[in-house]
Amino acid sequence: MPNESLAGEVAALRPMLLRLARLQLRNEGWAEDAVSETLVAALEGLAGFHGHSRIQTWVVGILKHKILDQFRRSGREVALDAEDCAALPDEGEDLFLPDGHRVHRPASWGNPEETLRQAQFLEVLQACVDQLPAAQGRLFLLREWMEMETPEICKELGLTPTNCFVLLHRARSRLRECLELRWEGGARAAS
Amino acid sequence: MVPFRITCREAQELLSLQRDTSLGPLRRLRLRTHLWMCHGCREVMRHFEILSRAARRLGS
Repeated sequence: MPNESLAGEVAALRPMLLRLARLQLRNEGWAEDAVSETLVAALEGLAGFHGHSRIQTWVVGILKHKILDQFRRSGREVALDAEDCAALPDEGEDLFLPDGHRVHRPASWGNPEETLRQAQFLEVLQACVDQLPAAQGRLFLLREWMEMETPEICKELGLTPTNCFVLLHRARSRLRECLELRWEGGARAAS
Repeated sequence: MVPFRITCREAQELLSLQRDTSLGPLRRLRLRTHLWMCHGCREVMRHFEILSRAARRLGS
């Protein structure tokens, strides 16, 4: 019999899982489905959880698989979004002057270890990813959160490598601008 | 060395690209030369690294 308190811990992860699934999938219905499947799989598999890792890490690992399944089921729709997004001109162009110099000088984000330990940095990062166009947000998280290789992502989304690289570059550039504006440690955050 | 000079805009594109694929020797040399001279782009390189490490921590 699976441990009941462990089952309770898994169920309590639902809001956190839903937030991650929404961020990655950018579709409410798909996110709900992926999280439901994750919770079912986790509860069924609890007997196989031996506590070598934190329960949360284990369940998030399951969520990543379910998200990928969901992308595969919705491939066509996701691919069309990505193509549309790649075809649009880059709205981040105003970050540079016509001579190729930046409008704003990038500031130091401090010691990476300390920055990464700040809950606020991760909070603002999530808010910033949420503001990206859907295709850019999906691509960035597939690459950096799901840690998929770029050729694999391009193939999943039916994108040419060039379009993949362009969208990832736009996503990263916008995210660093967003963090500079909104994170307290960023250069231009309101003080 | 005029052919090796790239702008900050181009350097930032390469800084992103090198996280996803291999740049090849010529582009790598151009980027390295630019970074050696440009404090701002070195900072952006660190920002991209922090973004990547931060994203991996979501949900952990």
